[in-house]
Amino acid sequence: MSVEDPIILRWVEETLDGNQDAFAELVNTYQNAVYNLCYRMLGERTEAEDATQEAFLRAFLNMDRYDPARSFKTWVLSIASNHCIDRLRKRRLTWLSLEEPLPPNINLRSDEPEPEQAAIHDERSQAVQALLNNLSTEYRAAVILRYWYDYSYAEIADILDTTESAIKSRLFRARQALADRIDTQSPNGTLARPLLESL
Amino acid sequence: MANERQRRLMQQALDEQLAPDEQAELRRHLDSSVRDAQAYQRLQEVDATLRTAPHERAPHRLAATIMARLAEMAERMDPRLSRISGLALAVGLALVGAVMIPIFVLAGWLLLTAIASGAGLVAAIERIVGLLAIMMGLAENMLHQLQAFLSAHPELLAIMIGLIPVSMFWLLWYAPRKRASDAVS
Repeated sequence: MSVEDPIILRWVEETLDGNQDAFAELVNTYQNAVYNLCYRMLGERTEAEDATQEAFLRAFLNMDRYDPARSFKTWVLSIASNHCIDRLRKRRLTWLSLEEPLPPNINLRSDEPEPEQAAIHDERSQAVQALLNNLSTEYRAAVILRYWYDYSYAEIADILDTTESAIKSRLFRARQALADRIDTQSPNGTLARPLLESL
Repeated sequence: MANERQRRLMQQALDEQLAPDEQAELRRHLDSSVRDAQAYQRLQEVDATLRTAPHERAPHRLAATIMARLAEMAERMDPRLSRISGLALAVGLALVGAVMIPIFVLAGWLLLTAIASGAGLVAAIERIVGLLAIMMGLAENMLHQLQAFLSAHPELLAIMIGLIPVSMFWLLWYAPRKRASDAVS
């Protein structure tokens, strides 16, 4: 039995019939979710954009493999997260150490309502990103799917193709690692507190 | 210092997965250990930070870029398909030519011989019939040898039959998919 919205299923069917406009509707509906996942995984906007494009193209090419009993969002996020994990592995093998500081992100988007709000949003976003960057790829994926998408352990396990207990363990260790990092930066938590309070 | 069970309880508390008796156990432990209470507070802060983290919105141009790449990919796939069709046509024409050209040459030669002399035409036909008979004999001989070989190795026949669905699968499923993924990359 399908759990997906009938409109989404119709767009999927029309995409399978070769209607690119229907696929454009799917892209419009899920682009923010996919982009956010890619940005949180990769920590860099340009690369996140590229990964989002790649994820949607892969979804288009593999649309016949989509199971309507599953949520389309979960399916496309699964494609995106696996693609980002691959990218991070290649990145680690080639040129970028995870310890290396991220390049500054300059926001050139014109759709932000107010410059001040945009600055606060960016500051918060980058502070969280700095925390995420301390995690290994698999831990990061589990944390993002749990906190940004509110997926259950079972759903995350399904997306990342692993077991529920592995996800539970990754989440536990990830949170512990982040808390330990705060501890390491400041044994009394006094240095970490302003960072967290600014969020 | 919290032991393994207490650390697990702290983590489960963050996911609101503790039974009431476990909650009470954790509370008692945190009341008795200032250090673990601080550790739990830090975990809660991490949890709260992540829960309230902002969602990044996709740039406006992203959807348009995706659709443009999709259109580009479709364009790249089309010439490839037409190239394959063109290749198939060329191979077909070459095969037809390979069969038809000797027939035309033979027909021309027969015509010229018939014009020159009737006896020559009969001799030519006899030669052709003789040649065909030799070819038929060779084909029959090869067929007999093949039958004998397959009788000695029946598994080869099974393998050849088994390869038919595999090759059909490759042609119908894998090859178009491979072309498509090549086009993306």
